[in-house]
Amino acid sequence: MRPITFAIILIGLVSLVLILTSTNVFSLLPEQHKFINIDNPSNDIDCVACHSRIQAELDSSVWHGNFSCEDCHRFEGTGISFAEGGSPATSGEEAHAAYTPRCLDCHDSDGATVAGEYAKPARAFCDDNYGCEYSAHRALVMKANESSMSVGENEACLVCHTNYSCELDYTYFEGISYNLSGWSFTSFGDSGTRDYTANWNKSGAKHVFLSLDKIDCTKCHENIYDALVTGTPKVNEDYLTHSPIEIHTSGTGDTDWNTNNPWPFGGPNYHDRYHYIPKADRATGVNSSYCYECHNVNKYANENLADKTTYDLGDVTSDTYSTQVHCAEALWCQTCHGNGKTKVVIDNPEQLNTGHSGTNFVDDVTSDYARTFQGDICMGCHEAAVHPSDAQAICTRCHELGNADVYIESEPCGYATNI
Amino acid sequence: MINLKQMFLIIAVLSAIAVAMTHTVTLFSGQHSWYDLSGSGSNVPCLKCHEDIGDELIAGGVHTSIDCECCHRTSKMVGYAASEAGQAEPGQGAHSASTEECMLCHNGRRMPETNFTHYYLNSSSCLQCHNPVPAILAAAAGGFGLTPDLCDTGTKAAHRSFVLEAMIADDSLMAGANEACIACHTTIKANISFNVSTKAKITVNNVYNDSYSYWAVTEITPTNYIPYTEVKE
Ligand code: HEC
Ligand code: HEC
Ligand code: HEC
Ligand code: HEC
Ligand code: HEC
Repeated sequence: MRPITFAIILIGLVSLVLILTSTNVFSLLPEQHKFINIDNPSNDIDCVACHSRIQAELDSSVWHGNFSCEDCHRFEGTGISFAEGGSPATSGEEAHAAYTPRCLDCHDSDGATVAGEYAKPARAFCDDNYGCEYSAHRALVMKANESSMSVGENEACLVCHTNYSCELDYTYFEGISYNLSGWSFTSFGDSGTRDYTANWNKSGAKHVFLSLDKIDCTKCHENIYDALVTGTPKVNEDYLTHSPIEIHTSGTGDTDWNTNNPWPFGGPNYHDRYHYIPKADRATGVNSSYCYECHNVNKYANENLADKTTYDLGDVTSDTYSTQVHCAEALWCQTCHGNGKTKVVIDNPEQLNTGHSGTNFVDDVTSDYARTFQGDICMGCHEAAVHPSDAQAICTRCHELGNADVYIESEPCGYATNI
Repeated sequence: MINLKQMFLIIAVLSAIAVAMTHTVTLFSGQHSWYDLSGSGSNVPCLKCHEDIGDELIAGGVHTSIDCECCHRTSKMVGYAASEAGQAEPGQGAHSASTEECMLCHNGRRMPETNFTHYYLNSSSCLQCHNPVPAILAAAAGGFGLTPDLCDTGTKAAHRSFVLEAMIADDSLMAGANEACIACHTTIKANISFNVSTKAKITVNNVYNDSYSYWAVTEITPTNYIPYTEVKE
């Protein structure tokens, strides 16, 4: 056979083989006819194929990390009918593949069991109307429910409980001024507005749930943190407001108005100040646990048994609504220091009968003035840094006569004059 | 004179062309032998040219015994080329086949509410879609608010906007909601571009007069969108 003949025959054979075996039109979108069998009783369509990032987030989450997507997104406790394959198939109604759950679908008042674990009720927020009015953040939860960004109240849950970041743009008063004469108000007014932005920047991942101790009050309330830690620096003593933690040093040693001064130091009426943090410890000492000292006495008492005894926190708890709130209580100084309360105002034993103990002063402040001003009204004198240096000689002006002329600025500034 | 080396070269080139030209090859092979079109249904063996698709269907877990024509020659909106009882009908919208919506069969609707037509189907194929006739095997794809079932509100469906977007998109890759249905229900590859908010912006105003105050949360808006891509293999 001549090579050319051989070549032609070979070409013919090869072409024939090719034609017979490769008659296929190449599908433009391969596998669009390869349907996934959905006969199994549980979901057979792999959510993670399109949502691998969410799985990765869950893998590093403190809570819910062991759940499958379906545990939450095809949760059966709500009565939603999801699409389900099989013979016969169940048609979906409110949802097909998945729904976006409300956190409260599981964390409602009776909780739920998911993947063999009990989901606890979200205290207070699981109650009608999201619990009592003393439960802080209730307005946030209500607004979240109203807003369309996410289902239900989820926006509120997410910003605190996950790595979803948040920015808070606050507007409130800048300062107040008032005059006191014989422990009675002769004038009161507010001035200016303050815009304050707090940023709690996290990774942004909504499926990374935080352990409870990582929920840091001071991030969203940075103005309060600043008020307690930085305030407005002054030469001798900083203006630090929000809670009476700063005592002016005019005397000597720890027995005077010093930062480590309990009333009277080591003496018979030894009076440790509960919410008092020595200057050196402030930057670290002002943290969520510190906030709970006042804003959730019940929680603080349970977590700090020594303090519970020292400060009689069992009784203080019953002065508060702390057992009825979600995480924090909206309170007043009067909540603990009003007449009849466990920590009713007492005088400094070194200067007996010179303060407002035995009067209705604290209760009157509460009933006459808006809650937002309460702390600053008290701090006008109790932010002891404001002791006017030239008026120190006449302690009696305040301490006996109950006269004061105060201007004090809101957090984070705390700048105050009291002449 | 061609030597052996040159010969292999020619074979190689021709093979390459043959492979690259499978469409043409397909269309021309057997062009002189005609299929008898007079029986009911489509008598053109789709699989001859679309064998890969037949393989996919059989390998899958759904529609394994449904003929190509059931999904590609059943839209009332399309007139297909056909030859019934010796009468030749020219195609109008499509010649042999059209792309159809999954919802043509899965919308849970009955005539005259549907665009489904039995006209071009094989008379013996009834049990592929009915068992028994007229009970419909194709379950209504409920949960997107697209079926006549009054309970099918779809209000909670996480992927509802995926489906609705697939339906309205102008530059539609596929008919109806098919992009969404196929993305989930088949092993097709897909690139999905997400753009998600990583932060909420919350506006909080203190509302007050001398004797009364409260905190009003006036706005919650999502911000800090971050794009990322998921690749479904
Ligand atoms: C986000 C993914 C997703 C999309 C998009 C989707 N499905 Fe589904 N589908 C599912 C899942 C998950 C199931 C339940 C699977 C199981 O039971 O294993 C399901 C079940 C079904 C069922 C059986 C149950 C029923 O409701 O009848 C049908 C039929 C169905 N889908 C058709 C469709 C059609 C048609 C579309 C397009 C309109 C579609 N699906 C879009 C995920 C999806
Ligand atoms: C002779 C070979 C051949 C046969 C037989 C054949 N097709 Fe095709 N088909 C093709 C080619 C080539 C294309 C791609 C070019 C085009 O879109 O026209 C195609 C495209 C298609 C498309 C895509 C059209 C679009 O708009 O994207 C569908 C659907 C289809 N065929 C279905 C069928 C069905 C159903 C049958 C049987 C009734 C069939 N084909 C028989 C060769 C064939
Ligand atoms: C020609 C009508 C028809 C079309 C078009 C059609 N299907 Fe189907 N489908 C059926 C029938 C009939 C069944 C039940 C028998 C079977 O599974 O083969 C079914 C079953 C299913 C099932 C399984 C449901 C179950 O009972 O568990 C899913 C999922 C599904 N189809 C999805 C789709 C998707 C997605 C599309 C579009 C790509 C589609 N179908 C297009 C007729 C159709
Ligand atoms: C269950 C219904 C169903 C069956 C059965 C079915 N198809 Fe399809 N097919 C579809 C749908 C839906 C699309 C996508 C249509 C679109 O683009 O909107 C499609 C797309 C196509 C395409 C074009 C896209 C591509 O992959 O390039 C071709 C070709 C095709 N089908 C051929 C066939 C052939 C041949 C058969 C039989 C072996 C078949 N189909 C069986 C539903 C079906
Ligand atoms: C490709 C799938 C398919 C095949 C094959 C098929 N049908 Fe249907 N049939 C449907 C669908 C989808 C409907 C509902 C939509 C409609 O009414 O047009 C339907 C509706 C009907 C109805 C009306 C039912 C009602 O409740 O209104 C009858 C009767 C029926 N088919 C008979 C047949 C017979 C007989 C055959 C065989 C010759 C057949 N069908 C083949 C899909 C199919």
